[in-house]
Amino acid sequence: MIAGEKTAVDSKQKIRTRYKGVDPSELEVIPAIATDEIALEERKLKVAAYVRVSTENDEQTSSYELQVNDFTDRINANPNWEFAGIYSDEGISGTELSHRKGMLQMIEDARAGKIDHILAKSIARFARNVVDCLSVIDELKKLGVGVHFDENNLYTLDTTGALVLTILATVAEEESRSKSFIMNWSIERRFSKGIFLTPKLLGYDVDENGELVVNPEEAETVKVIYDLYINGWSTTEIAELLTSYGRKTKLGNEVWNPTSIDGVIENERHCGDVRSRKTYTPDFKTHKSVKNRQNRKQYIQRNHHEAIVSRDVYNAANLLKSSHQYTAKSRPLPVLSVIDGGILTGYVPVDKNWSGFSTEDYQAACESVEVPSDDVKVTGRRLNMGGYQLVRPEYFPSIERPAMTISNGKLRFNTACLKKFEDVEYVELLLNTVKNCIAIRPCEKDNPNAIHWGKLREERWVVSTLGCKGLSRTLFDLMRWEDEGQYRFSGQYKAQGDNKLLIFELGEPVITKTVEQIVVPEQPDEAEEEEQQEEIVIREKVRVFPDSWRTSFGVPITAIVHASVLEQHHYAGDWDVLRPATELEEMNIFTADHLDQLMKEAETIMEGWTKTA
Amino acid sequence: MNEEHVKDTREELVSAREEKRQEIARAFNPNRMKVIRKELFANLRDPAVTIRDGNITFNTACINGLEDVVYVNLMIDEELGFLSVTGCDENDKGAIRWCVAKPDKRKSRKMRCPDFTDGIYKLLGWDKKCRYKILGYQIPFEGKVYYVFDLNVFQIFNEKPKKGEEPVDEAGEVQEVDTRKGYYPEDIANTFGVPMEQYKKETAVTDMDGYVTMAMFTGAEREDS
Repeated sequence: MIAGEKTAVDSKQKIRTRYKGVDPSELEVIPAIATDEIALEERKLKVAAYVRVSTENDEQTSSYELQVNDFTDRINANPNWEFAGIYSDEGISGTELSHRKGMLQMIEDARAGKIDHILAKSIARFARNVVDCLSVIDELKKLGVGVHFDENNLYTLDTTGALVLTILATVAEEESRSKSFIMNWSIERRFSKGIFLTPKLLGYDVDENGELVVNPEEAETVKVIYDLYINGWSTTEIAELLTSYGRKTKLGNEVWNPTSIDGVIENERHCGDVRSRKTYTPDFKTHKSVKNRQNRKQYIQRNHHEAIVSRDVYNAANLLKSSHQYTAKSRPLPVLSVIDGGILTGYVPVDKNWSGFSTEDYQAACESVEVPSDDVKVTGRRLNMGGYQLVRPEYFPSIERPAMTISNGKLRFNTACLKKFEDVEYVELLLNTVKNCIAIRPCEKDNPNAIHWGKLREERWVVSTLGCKGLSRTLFDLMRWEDEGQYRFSGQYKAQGDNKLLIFELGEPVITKTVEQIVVPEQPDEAEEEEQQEEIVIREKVRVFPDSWRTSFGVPITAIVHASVLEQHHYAGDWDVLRPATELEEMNIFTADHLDQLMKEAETIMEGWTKTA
Repeated sequence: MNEEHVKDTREELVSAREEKRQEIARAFNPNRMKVIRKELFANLRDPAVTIRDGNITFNTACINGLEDVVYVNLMIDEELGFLSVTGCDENDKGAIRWCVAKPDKRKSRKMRCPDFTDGIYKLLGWDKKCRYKILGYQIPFEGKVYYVFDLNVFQIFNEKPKKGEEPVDEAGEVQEVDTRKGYYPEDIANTFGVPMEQYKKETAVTDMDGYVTMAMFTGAEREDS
């Protein structure tokens, strides 16, 4: 044996000797505290049970009672167990944890050490949501609390339990999903056959056949709500009125709130129609129902039952309701009208917030009056300026020039506008869809269309930015604007004696918009090629001029003046700027007279009521 | 004798002058004459407009020429290259303020209009490093006064270069730019003006179908127009 081999053998021997260990009698053992194992446990266990039934109907109630009794007996019968209580959720779905007060209380008590062991009938009773089920069991496990499921004889503190549990919880969730599917299918079938769900509704009773029949007493309340609302009453005012008369809600309450008024106005069943599936539940786990904005199929049956209010009244009230900005000021339903004389002939008064009239409505109103053509007599010599264009004043920026800006549903006039009108705080906006012009004229504060465009503060005019969703929608549609951004229009002030007027031509707005440019900075020479330079987004405001500005300096003079001499033609007739607009009876469902009639109807009904407060 | 001699000499002189006069008179043919452009004379007090890259300014002489006018209509004939201005009401369509109006006097005003001058420079192929001065012709017509500027006849001035854009000579030295001296384009500098006959023809104010053309006043009507 050579020297090297001998050393190796010695070293192996040493290792063997070391691993033989010491004499066990020389060692002292400190035993580990055994984990809770039900069979090994000697001290009395605090045992609780969890019970859940999903609906509150009688059959399930008996099941619930059975479960409760069974668990109570079992816990009491076991001498090693101490009864720690029955935790229960009745009539509550197992898909979401947050609603289950019993379960939450149980977890809380487990944390407080009041429970050592939990009994449950099945995983499906415990939870129908895999994530929730496993996370609850996991939390209990960390607290040393085990759950025993009778159905599968599964114990969560067993090592084999975890995998089985996951599978079974998934099955439970799947079962819930399929139940939800079946319910949806059933509802869909019912609705498609015109079998509607008819929950309780103010104004109606349900007869023995399930049909809606008018309840005359309640129907009075419904009528008054609609009549007043269309006449510009706010929901708060109506609620206060009904409360003061002690009118009862469907649930028998005598206190009304604006939301319940909203509910009545919105419900199509008051005009005899039924619409199915106004809400739906997108997730069977959360149970949150959301408004059905054509996410699910809807069914409407017209004239399903006797109406309390006419469809016109219902539609008008809901039109009014959809224009929040408009109703915020308690104004009655707007009426389409047009000015049929004076310098503003053909202009239609517009409420900037009202979105109930379509662009076509405005166009029809505007075109309903004939605008007389201006004949200009030309005499004598004229200077031929045929080739000339009048240079656009917009090329010469000036704060003295009136301007109107529309952007993002907001309207703003510059101080120059206010200065031109001198002492006018409220103005009315009129639209001419033939000339594509907006006119602004002074008006009284109580005009329903009144725009409070600014006020004098310390002898200086301060302008306000105003919402104008309805107007902006109409203009974008009318002028086929697509760009986002600020649309700015130069105004033309016209005055003759007391007649004051601003005209904004819509044809050539200057659009200011923000454009984003992505720039990759140039790489310095020494930079490695792989090193990607970060992109920089540059936001820049750009002004976009109308196309025609690129090809000309202005409009041909011949287009402005009839004679070829630059003598601007002014309206020759009586300006009559403040002439009231005439209602277009054929174009309005409701004229002012109709609104009056509805108001009278409400008053007549209310005469029969007695005040309680 | 002396007196006689003087008398003779005077008579001779007179006759010589008369002879010369008659000779000149014989030689004079208005049709051979040219009407000298007024641009070739000092014109500090003449109405003029100066167009720069970014703004235009009407001089005081111009503003004084239109009495009490604060707002003007600016008109342009792209084809002829004519700019015209006339007073208007503050609220008229296209009204632009052309001067600083104080209670006692009106002062010349630099009218900022970058988008407009952009178009003018492009239209006439001008150099943005220069400003252009154009003399105006006043045209009273039926109680209204117009100024017409022929943008094709201009005096050109160098503008003060922007920092970092100063011209350098071969040695790399920054060169001074004379911003005060005006130049005329060659076709104007090399001629004295237009022949009398053409001038007469062009300036005759006649009624044509009841219209009077603006170009008639300025003598610059193009043959092809």
